[in-house]
Amino acid sequence: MKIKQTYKDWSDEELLGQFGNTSRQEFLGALYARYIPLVYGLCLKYLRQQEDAEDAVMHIYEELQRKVANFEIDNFRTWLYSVAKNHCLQILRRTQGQLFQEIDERVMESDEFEHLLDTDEDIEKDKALNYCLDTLSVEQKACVVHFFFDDWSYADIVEKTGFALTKVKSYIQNGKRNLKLCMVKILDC
Amino acid sequence: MTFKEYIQGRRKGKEANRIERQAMNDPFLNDAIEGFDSVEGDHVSALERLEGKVLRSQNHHRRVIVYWAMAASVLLLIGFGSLFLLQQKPETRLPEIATVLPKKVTPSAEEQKSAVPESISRTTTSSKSKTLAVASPPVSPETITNKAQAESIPEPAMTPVQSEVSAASPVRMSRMLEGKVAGLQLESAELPINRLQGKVVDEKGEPLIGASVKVKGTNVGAVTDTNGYFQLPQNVSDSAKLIAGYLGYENKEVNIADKPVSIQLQPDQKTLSEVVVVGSVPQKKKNVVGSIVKIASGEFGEKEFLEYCKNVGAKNLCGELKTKVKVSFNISKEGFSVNVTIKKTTCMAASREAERLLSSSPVWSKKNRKVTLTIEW
Repeated sequence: MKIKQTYKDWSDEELLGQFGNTSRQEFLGALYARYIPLVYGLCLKYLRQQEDAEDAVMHIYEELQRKVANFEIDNFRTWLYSVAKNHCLQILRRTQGQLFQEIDERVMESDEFEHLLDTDEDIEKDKALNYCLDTLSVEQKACVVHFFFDDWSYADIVEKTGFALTKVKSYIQNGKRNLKLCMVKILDC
Repeated sequence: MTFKEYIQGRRKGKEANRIERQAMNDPFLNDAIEGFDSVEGDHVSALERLEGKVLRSQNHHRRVIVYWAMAASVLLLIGFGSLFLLQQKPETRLPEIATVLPKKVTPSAEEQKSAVPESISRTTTSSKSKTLAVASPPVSPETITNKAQAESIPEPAMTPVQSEVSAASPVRMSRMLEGKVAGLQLESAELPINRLQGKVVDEKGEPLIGASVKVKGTNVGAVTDTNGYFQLPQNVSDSAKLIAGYLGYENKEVNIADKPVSIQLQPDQKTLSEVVVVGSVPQKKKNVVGSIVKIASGEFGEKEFLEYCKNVGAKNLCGELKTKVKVSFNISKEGFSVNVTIKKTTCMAASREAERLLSSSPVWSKKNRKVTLTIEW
């Protein structure tokens, strides 16, 4: 754990560069340790077993040691994401033979969405937002408002509204989509 | 708040909301949260375990060396062990080759053998006559020992040539034992000893690994192992022929009767020419830069040419004026336009374009004639 403290202020790129120059494992170790929570969570999502996920985290680390030198890595985080995800998918392919088709519909649209919510000094936008919020169902509206304007977490919303967590998530997801469609339509016309 | 604290279950307040909103933009974070939420368990201690392992990993170097040293010594041991085994191999291999021969003894030898008690049939794989005598007692002490002696068993120390005889003798003996042995388990007809074995080598005598060997006219075949040896899965008659093949080598046919079966292949002198793979993809019209003109099959005359100009000709060349050119030319016997003369034109650009259109048009169907045309596009 001492290592973790030592390299606390180093950026990903610095650690990666040092590992490239010296081939000393502690640099890569310190770097990878930062992402263990993310990688482990990702592995849990795909492999659904704690032991499998733990093994996968260590295997991915071994894979990195081999791969890092062979790739030009611009952004370690996104690169690691694809390496880790591919590792898990390969395991699934081996064990299950076939892969479920992953439907990833929330592709980086949220930035744009948050921009829509930023209505400072834009009366047009503000009007549109208020109008569109009213077109949502009561639950969707409540969840969207709590989440995006009151900055409540999912857990807060669950506690205060009494909706189940999965419901809250889908209200926010769907509310967000409907709201965006509605606003884009109004602002473009 | 850190992500770890979030996993631990502190999911309230603005900070938690911040992480959740971040996850909307970040598939990595989003997947991780989904993972932690979908699987029950003590994730925090798992994370600490993993972190410990990864951060301690720089010590592995030294440990890895130790592991390598251990692996190397094990390899050495195996190496020496197999050396000893290999040295003994020739001795054990001889009787195997010899066992191919017994078939010559009698056509019905195979049936006979199916009646051989296990203990005796096993002795056929050994060339030492001593074991014959040892193996026989459980069967029927007196008769067998007598008859075994009557068979005039060769001396214990044998040359390979003699082994042919010895391999044959148990078969003959078994014939005599037939019907006289009871209560012993019978070996099935699936005796491996009768299957044809052989070797495939290249022009230098090196074994060919993975070469295919097939009995001609059947689908019985085998593939050579890492030492170039093969063994056919079934018994085949002596009159059959074997075909051996290997990529880059010429196929070779040999008679099974020529024993031991060793097949030498010669490299194929014919070199393969490169393979060109052509793929075609249908294009959407809007993706094509340039112009595509569909030519009515066969005919290309004045009418088609005027149509062609309308489709292909560059528009608005002379500003306000119509692009109109009167042109005369000959059509050669190959169907190309030659001796093009511009008689009238609305502007220079138009006459240049007319010449271009004439030179780029499809081949004319009616050849060897003179044409005068007014083109407009």
